[in-house]
Order: sequence, then C-alpha cells, then structure tokens
Amino acid sequence: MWGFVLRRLVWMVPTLIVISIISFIIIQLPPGDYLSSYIARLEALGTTVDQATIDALRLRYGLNDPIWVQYFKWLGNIVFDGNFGYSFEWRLPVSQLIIERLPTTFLVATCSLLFAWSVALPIGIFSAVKQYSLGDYFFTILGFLGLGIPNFMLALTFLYISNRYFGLSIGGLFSPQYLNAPWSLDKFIDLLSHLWIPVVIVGTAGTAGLIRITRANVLDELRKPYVETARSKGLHPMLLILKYPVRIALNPFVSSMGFILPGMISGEVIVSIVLNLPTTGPLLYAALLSQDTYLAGAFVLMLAVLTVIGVLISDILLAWLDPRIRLS
Amino acid sequence: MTLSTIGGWSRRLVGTATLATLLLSTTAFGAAAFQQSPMLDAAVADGSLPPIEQRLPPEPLVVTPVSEVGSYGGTARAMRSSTEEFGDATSVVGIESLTRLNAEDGATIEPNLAQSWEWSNDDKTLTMTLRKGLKWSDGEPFTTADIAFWWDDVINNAELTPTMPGDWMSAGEPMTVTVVDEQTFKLDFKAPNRLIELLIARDGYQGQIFLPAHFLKPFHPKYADPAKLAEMAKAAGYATWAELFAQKALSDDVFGVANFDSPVIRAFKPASTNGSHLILERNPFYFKVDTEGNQLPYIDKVDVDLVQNPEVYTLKASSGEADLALENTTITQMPVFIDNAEKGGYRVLEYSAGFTNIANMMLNQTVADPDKRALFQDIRFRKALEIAINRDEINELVFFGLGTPMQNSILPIGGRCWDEAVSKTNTQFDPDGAKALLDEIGMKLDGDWRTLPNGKPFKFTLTYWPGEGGDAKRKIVELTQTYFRNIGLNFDVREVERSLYFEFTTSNQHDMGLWHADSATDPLWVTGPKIIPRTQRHGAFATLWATWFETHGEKGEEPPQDMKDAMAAWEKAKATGTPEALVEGCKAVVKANADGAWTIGTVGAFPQPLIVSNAMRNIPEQGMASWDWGYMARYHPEQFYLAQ
Amino acid sequence: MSVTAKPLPIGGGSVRGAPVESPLTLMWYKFRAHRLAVASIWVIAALYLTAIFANWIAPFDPESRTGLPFSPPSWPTVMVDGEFVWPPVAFGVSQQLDRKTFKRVYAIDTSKRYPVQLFIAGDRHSWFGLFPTDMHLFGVDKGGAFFLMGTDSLGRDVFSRMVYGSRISLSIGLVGVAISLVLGVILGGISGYFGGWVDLAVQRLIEIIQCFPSIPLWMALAAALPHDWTTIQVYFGITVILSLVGWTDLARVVRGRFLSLREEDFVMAARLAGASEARIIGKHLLPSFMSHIIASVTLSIPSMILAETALSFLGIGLTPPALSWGVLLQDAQNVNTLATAPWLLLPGALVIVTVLAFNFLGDGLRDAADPFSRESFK
Repeated sequence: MWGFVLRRLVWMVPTLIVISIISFIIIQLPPGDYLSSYIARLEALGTTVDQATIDALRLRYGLNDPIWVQYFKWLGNIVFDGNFGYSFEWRLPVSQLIIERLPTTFLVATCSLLFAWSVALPIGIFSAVKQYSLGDYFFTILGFLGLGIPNFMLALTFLYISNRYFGLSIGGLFSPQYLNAPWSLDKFIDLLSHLWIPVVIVGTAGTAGLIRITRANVLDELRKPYVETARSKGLHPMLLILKYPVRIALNPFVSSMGFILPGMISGEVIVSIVLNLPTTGPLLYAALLSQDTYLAGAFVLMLAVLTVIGVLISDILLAWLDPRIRLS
Repeated sequence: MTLSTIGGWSRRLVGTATLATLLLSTTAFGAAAFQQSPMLDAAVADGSLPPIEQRLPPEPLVVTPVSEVGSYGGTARAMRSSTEEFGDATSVVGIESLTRLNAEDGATIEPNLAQSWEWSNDDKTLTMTLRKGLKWSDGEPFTTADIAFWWDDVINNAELTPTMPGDWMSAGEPMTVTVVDEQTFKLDFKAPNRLIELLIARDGYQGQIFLPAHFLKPFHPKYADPAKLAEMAKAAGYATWAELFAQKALSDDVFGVANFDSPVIRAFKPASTNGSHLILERNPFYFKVDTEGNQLPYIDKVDVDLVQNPEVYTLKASSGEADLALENTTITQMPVFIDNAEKGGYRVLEYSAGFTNIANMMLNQTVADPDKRALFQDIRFRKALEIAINRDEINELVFFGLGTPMQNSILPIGGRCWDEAVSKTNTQFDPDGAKALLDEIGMKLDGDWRTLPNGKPFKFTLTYWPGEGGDAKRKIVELTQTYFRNIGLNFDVREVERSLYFEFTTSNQHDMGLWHADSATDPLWVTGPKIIPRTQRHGAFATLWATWFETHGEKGEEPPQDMKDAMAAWEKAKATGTPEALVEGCKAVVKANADGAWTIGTVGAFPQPLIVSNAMRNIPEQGMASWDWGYMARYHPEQFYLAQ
Repeated sequence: MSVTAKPLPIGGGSVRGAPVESPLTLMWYKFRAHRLAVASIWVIAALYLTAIFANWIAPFDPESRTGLPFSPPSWPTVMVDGEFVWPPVAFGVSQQLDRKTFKRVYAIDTSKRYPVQLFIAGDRHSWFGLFPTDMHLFGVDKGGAFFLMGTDSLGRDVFSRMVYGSRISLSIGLVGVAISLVLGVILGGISGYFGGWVDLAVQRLIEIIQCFPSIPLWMALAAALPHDWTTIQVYFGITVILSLVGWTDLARVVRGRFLSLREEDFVMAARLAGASEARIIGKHLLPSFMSHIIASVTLSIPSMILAETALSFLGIGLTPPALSWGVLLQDAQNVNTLATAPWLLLPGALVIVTVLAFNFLGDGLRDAADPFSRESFK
C-alpha cells in the first residue's frame, strides 16, 4: 500500500511541472500581454500613452524577459516564497484575491455536487431497475434537461423570472440588507434563497453524467450471479438493490470525484458571471480577458493542482478499497 | 443642454464667476448658520470630530441646488462594472479637481478647489490660488504641499513615473512647479500652453495634480527608510515599494478605486466592503455647502454594487435596485426600462450619449499588403464604402430613429467647431454610386465578388471590439457587412477582445478597425482629439503614418499631404493655444477627415437612458451621459438628495 | 446521420453452418428496446435533413431584412372570421414605433390575405453554391406575415436563421468528434495495446489535460487564432480547439476497452488458434469494440454543440455573420429579449431537443453495446 502511495507521489512531481508549464503557456498564448490590455483600457478612458512609457512599464514588470525567464521567476517565487505574484489589475497580491473568493466557490461547488448526486442517484437506480419503463423515460428526460439547456441561458432566465415574478433581489449570494449583518437564521434563509439558483443550474448540468454512470453500473451489477442468489434466497428486492448492487455501483463515484472539480469550476464560471456571484469564476474570467498574467496563472495552476491532489486521493481510496488496483 | 460658445475659457481671470451663486461669501449665512448631517452629530458631540465651522473652509464653495434645497440622509445605491472604477457611483460621488467645466455649456471654467487663477501675459505662466482652509477627509489641511509632492516626488520619480506624461511638457521640456505660499503655486511652461487650463478643468483625467502628501510620505523612500519600506512592501505582498505606493496613492483616482486607508478630497470616502458591495460614507470635511448653509453632500452613504455582467446590470436597473444608472444603459434597452419604470419606482430620462459615432470604421491605409494598400489609399474606394452604408436604416433599427446620420466629427453641444455640412459629408445612401466608383477603379465582378484592379481576388476584414454601447456596435457591424457585400465586396468581420484589438491595430495587422468616437464636445475634443492619427492608436486608420507623426518622421512612413496639413494646422493651434486658434485647428482636422474619408462614420448624437429612482432628486432633466463628461459628476452630485 | 443502426452484414451470415448473429445485429435487437433512443433517431435524422436542405426549407434568406423588427411569431391560420379556409392564410402586417414605450406595435390587416404555398418563389439561394434557384419548399408571397418564430432586432426571420444555423451547429459536433475520435483512438489504442511506459505517458497526458478547467484552455486557444481568418476558418479553428480539449474521454474509453478485450477468452482462443495480430484486431477486437466507440461518440456530440453555444456566450466563439445556434442565442442573451421578444430564445429549445436526442441515442447504443449481455432481451 505504501509503495503504491509513494509511487503515485513520485509521479506527481513531473505531472506538476508539466502542469505549471502548461498553465504558463495558456496565459501567454494570446498575443500581447497585460500591458497592451492595460494601455487599451487607458486609451479607452481617454489617456494617451506614449511608446516611451510603454517601454518603461514593460521593463518594470519584466515583460521584456524571455518567456522562460518569466516562467522561472514566476515558479521560483511560488515554490520558494509562496508568493503567487501581484495582480496588475487589482493591484493586490494574488493569494489574497483568491483566498477571499475560495469559500464561496467551494460552497457553490459542493452544494451543486450534493444536489447533482441527490438527483442523479435515485433516478439512476430507478431507471436501471425499471429499465425502459415509462418512469425510466420520464425521469431520464427530466435529469437530462439540465444538461441540454445551455447554462448561461438557464441562468439568465432563472434570474429574470425570480426577480420579475418572485421579487428576489438579483444576483449575488445575499440580499443587500444581510450583506453586513452577522449570521442569523434569517441570513441563512436569505443565503439559501439565493444559493439554490446557481446550485440547481450548475448541478443539473452534471446530473446527466451521474445518472448515466449509476444506471450503467447498477445494470451491470444486476446481471451478476450473486444477485440471482440473493433473490432466490428471498431477500426483499428493494433491500437487495440497496444493499449490494448500489453499494458496488458507487465505486466509480470515488474514481470520478477527482475530476469533478474542473468541470464544476468551468460550469460555475459561466453561471457566476451571469448571476454576479462573488466566486472565483468571474475573477478568473476577467483575469484571462485582461491578461492579468499572475492572477490567471495562479488560478489555473491552483485548480489543476487541486485536481491532481483530488485524483491522487481518489486513487488511494480506490486502491485501499480494491487490492487488485494497488498490485497492478 | 444649452448650446453656447467655448469662449468661456478664454477669460484671463475667472475671479468673477458667471454664476453669482458660486462665490457667495460666508457672511451671507453668518458663522452659526452652517448645518451638518445628523449622521455626524454623535461624533461631534463626543469630540471625535471637530464642529462644522472648523471643518469647513472659511469660504466654502456654495452650490445652488438644481431644483430645491434637499434634506440629509439615506444611502444611494449605484452599480459599477469593474473594481477599477466607481462606475455609476462616480455620478454620485463626483470628481473634484482644481477647476471644473460648467455643466450647462460644458465650456466655462469654474472655480472648485482652486479659487482663482491667472495667466501671465505671454501665456507661459499659470498662477493658481487654492481655496483657504480646505481639508482632506482625515482633517489634515489641503495645501500647495500636496501639489508639490505630486510633482516632485511622484511625477519626477523615475520609479513611479517612468516617463514624463506629454501633457506636462511644453516645447519638449517639462513644466516647472513653484510653490509661492500655502495657497498659491505657479506652473511655468517653455511655450504658451493655454490648453493646460482645459486639461486641469476636464475633471482631472490627466489633470489631477495633487496627492495627499502627509499620508503618502511614509510610503516614499525619500521620506522613509528604504529597507523598512521594502519590508513593508513584501509583508503586504508587493515586490517593490513602488507597487505598494501605487496602491496607496489610488485614493482619489479619477473614477475611483476603493482604498480604505487614504484620505480623499471628494464628497465620499470608501468605508467598508462586503463581497461585491462597497460602501462609501460622507466626507465630514467636504468643502461645499448649499445656498442655506447646509454642508454637502446631502446623501450620507453610497452603496456600490459590483455588477460585471451588463445584463444583470440592466435587470437590476430595471427593477429599481439602483437610485441612478447610466453607465451601462443603452438605447436598445429602452423598452424594458420604460416597461418596468412604474413597478421599479424610477423615471427614465433621455440624456445625450456623448458620441458622434458609436461605430466609426477605419480602413487601414498603411496595410501591409501592397495591393490592398494601393486600393485603400484610393479615395474613391473609401468614398464608395461611405455611400454604400444605409445610415437611415441603421438609425431606424438600432436607435429607434433618434440618432443622426453623421461622420466622425463633433457634437453640436457647446460647439463652435460644429459644422453640419461637414458632418454630413458622404452620408447619403447611394449603392449605385458606390458600384460606379468601384467600376471606375477597375474592380470587376468575378462571380459574387469584385476583384482588385489588377484582377487578383480581394477580401478584407473588419477587426473590432464589440464593447461599449451595448449591442449597438454589433448590430451596426452586421448591417454594414450586408451593405458592403451588396456592392460586391468580399467583406468579413472578426470580433476580438479589447487588448487584442489594440495589439492588432498598433502592429498594423488590420485591414479595417472600428472604435467609438467619444470626447465629442468642443472642450473635450481639444483636450483629446479623436480624429488625429497620432493619438488615435485605437482607431489607427493609418498605423504607419501615425507612427511617423509620433516619432517625428523617424519611423513609420510619410503621410500624404492633406493629413500633414491638417496635423500642422492642429499643432499650430495647440502652440498658439488661444481658444480661437483651437477652434480653427479643430475645424481643420474635422473637415480634413470628412473630405479625405479617413474614417467612415455611421450614426451619432443619439439618446442614452438615465434611470433615476423616484426618491432621487435634484437631477437635471436633460444632460449628457458619457464617461468623458464624467457621467453625472458634472451636474454637482453633492446636491443630489434622497427624498424620504 | 451516419448512425442509422440498421443491421449491417459485418461478419454476419453463418459460419460452419451454425446460425450466428453478427454483433451489430445483436446490438440492433437490444437497441430497439430503448424506445426513446429509437425516437431520437428520427428526430436527429429530421434535424440533419433540415440542415442539409436548409436553403430550400427556410422560407427566407437568413440575412434578408423584412423591415419588421421584433415581430412576434405569426402563424398562418385556417380559421378566418369563423370560416375554414384552405390552404392556411397569412395576413398583411404593418409596424409602428410607439415613441412612449419604444416598442414596435404590430397591426394585422386581415383584409390582405396571403395563402401558404408549396414550392413558392422567394429569395434567391443555392445549395452550397450549386443549383441556384428562388424556389422555397413553403412560404407566402411578399408582404404576408409568415414568421413561424418571429423576427429579430434587425427584422430577420428567426426560423430561417435557425434552419441555416443548424448547418454549423450540427456539423461542429460531427467534425469535432471526428477529430477527437482520431486522436482518441490513436492515442488510446496505442496506450491500451502497447501498455508499459507508453501507456503510462499517455495516461499522464490525459490526466494533465483533464486537470485543467476547459474555459481557460478555450479562451487561450481562441485568442491565439489568427485575427484575419474568415468565418469558415474560425469555425474550423473552434472545432479543432473543442476537440483538442475534448479527446481525452474517448481515449480513455478506447484504452479501457482495449485493456479488457485483450484479456477476453475469445481473444486468447483466437491467438491460440494461430490468428495474426492484425486478424485479431480487425476480426475480433474491432467489431466488439465499435459499438462502444459509437456509443461514446454519440454521447460526445451534444457536449460539442453545447460548448459551441458557451463559446459564443463568452464572446470567444463564432460571431455574426457566421450563423449558428450559439450565435443566435448570444443575440437573445439580454434582458430586453426576455422581456419583450422571448421568441428569440427558441433556438435554445432546439439546442435542448438536439442534445436530448443525441443523449438518448447514445444511451440506447450504450445499452446495446455489449452484445453478450442478454438480460434486456425480455
């Protein structure tokens, strides 16, 4: 077991290095750099920036260095100083910006995940057990609707309807009056009344995949001889399904858990932009647009690293559950 | 908006202001006649804040309310679309500069922080006198030391300001700043530079010439231990002291950035933040009062909501979640605003959007491809494009018929530069005439599309950023595409992000660009001309010629005579600097652009909705809503009030 | 649509006299049980036929402006003044701007009637440059209000635009998946077949790509497209971007199948019988493998279609004058539309139907993919 964990940990090093390189390339790929975007904005505001100023600024921010020098400087600061750099746009340290918005992001992502599972599991099990029944079709269509509707369209429509017809305040996670208020039951209820919209939208987009996995796995398990045996022994069908096939069918959830984060974050970006949520999504999007190199780079790197760790954990869990994996 | 001349800023002395209300002496009220917001009563009572008489200057600036004397209190709600600006809050918070442009004619210069100013006879020295007893929001005095600090330690510090901004140069040399006493300072220029007067009054885009010295000195190596400073910067997460300093110095940035430490001179000061909300509170030391001696502003707090998505902005504005909204409102959304006005408890006013053109197209006459370049430099081709556009249809479909078909010129507001005939040059819709011109050039139809005169296939692409002005640009571009295709031109469109657009146009990689033509009133135009290739990096209708002008002929390529003549006329006007000369220069450039078809204008001078909640009072019924006008900042936002 | 799921005679017929059903025939038997999947085939076929023959089906040219902006959907009717008429008629219409509300007010003129006709002359069009004609499958004469899904802000017929837009939206999925498939099969196949360090390297690569959220990848790649590309080039650029980000799932599936099939008894049997590697792959592995690939491919198409709309929303995808459902939806993404012209959201409904159809088809194929599980033959 420890050998397996050690092997995986050693493998993580080259993976992380490649990830940091790709992160940096992603940020550098679009033509121009933060300065051109900064100057574009200044010019849009009516300020004239002459070439000499541009050159001087470029020198100050080290944007004239060859790209690999910029990369090593960036990585060096992160590894040795824990310094993720400075956001050009916000004029604040990157780490501070990200940390401020992480809790809400995890809140939305976790709730969405829970929502997706709580919808997908029953539907998946039901449609496996009652394959090709009317109920199977009905619930599957319902579960897949969320996948079919483009997230941004759903978000704007939800926003519009909840405001126009139910009088909810628009966007954000709190109504204005609760923003600065200490935590209370009312504030919590207010949070829930705002949170459900992004959670449902992000969550429904993920349910289809989960329904499919559950359904396929339960179907596979139902075909196995031990089910026949249990059935012949007179175990109650419902109890039987919940006790064996479903439990085993849950295994793939563990293995897919690691990769759920990037998917949820991507879904969350679009929804959060529309819903005006104080999460990392809009920050990442804006940073990418304005080529705020260090902010965007730190984001992409951080998400990728978290995913790698997530995959590692799920692999270790699986190996612990299933000895065949760790021996292979 | 009344039309008036720009002669206002020609006056040598503005000691006697045109608006009698502005300089009423304090004696009109009597010493005990000043009142303050009840919000401050407690602080004054417990001694943490000095009484009102000690906070106001001996001669506060008196502002005449637009319709009535207001009442204190309330939180004004506004929105902003980026963290770098106050957005609509600018319209409530206001912008304070040394002098300001009159809100009605947009031309007369009025006193603000400065009480008076005077030009030397040779127009080379400007002497300004600050109002006595001004205080920053922390109670420290605002004096010429704050101006000297800005000049000596910020502008002239190579780390903070790598190169001297061109505005402070005259005849190739930086100006000098001399402090005479606590209230008086002099700006000396090598050549006559009357333009600077307008720059300073233009609400500080480039004219903000002060910084809170007492607050910033501890972050400046000239006044603090460099080693400790480096440590401080590092502890705060910055690489150098300059980054830390830049962050601290943002307090009174033109459009505002939340910075809770540093003192401000304007009416509101950032107080707290919560998620996407930023709360500003009244500045107890603000230097303006109303006609009854009430210290302004009337409003106690401003709640600024960060709304990055323009649709959420529209939704919030149309459900009455803001007391004032105009930054991201566009005419195309009029129906939804009007529909919900009653339910949302607001009014919709039709302000003028400050554009002579929201979509101003520019063929790059110095495009790299030699065949294309020859064609683009042929004025008949540019003219054909101009008359192929059906501006009436654009006006009808995009602007509800409320705009004016025009070339990129200047708005009639406050303008002596305005010339209707010039602005209408080649704006008539004449597709047959356009085709005839193309035939004349020798562009023959080969299948669907016309070829180059030499018979090679021809295709050109418009590269543009669709931002600003809602979806108007995108719609105009879609329409234009069909117009150009109708006359047989293989024309394609590519949308790009703003920074990429900038990248492409500055590196001469585009066939055709598109930008909005703002700064479209006389005084704004002359402080930042939008037609001249030199400053028109975004427009770049001739990148290499612009480079030639910028580098004084060292790089780039030599422009044609008409452009050189127009530029010479403008340079001469600037050097002379008198208002009359500037008007002449402005006219020359506008006309040269129209005659030479440098840029291809579509529709301008259209209205923009201003959303005002029913509680919000003292808002002028008419006005201009554009960033370069400072949104509502010009309409004395400190006298806006919320009816209870 | 190439996946017609008819029994194809691959390896079919009888071998040594015993009746043997080919894997695909078996698959079809199982597939039939999934009624939603069977229905989806018809929906998808209809969608693709519409896309292919868009120019005849659309009553208007997608770019032609009727001069009637924001007209609500107006259908021809068969009941006029309580009387039944045939063929259905559309009415004349006039539009005026209400200066107070800024809304376009539409007045129907029932005295002017325009019967719906088949094979009617209208805007000129051609089929990908061939067969130029002005014949449309159906429509009314000029002047009749025949806007099945209303008109947009510039007065263009939304239905016609949707029909034309399906060309890009439906093909972007196919082309993108095709590229993903080539990448996925090659890399996944190599990885699964050779194993060892090749497998390890490909697996790490997949893992790394999957670790990145797709939005930054899209944005960076889209920004790197040359700016003077034509609409068509951008379209292919975007497709390639989507597949470069999206091939990993297919590669995993392919590898997984390879790994498990390699160990199957029948492969071992074939090997022991002296069959060559090529024969094992071509005759035994591929057939049992194809079904799974087809199912996975079908399931990746809708995500490509959705990704296209998301890219348009983020402003990094296709933009007008290109016509796709994403472009149409982007135009509808504003509060003004929701409040005053909700019919502009109808392309969204089409996206939903398409995505659902592909998903059910994929599900049906996946259920049917394993020819040796007999449980669902009941």
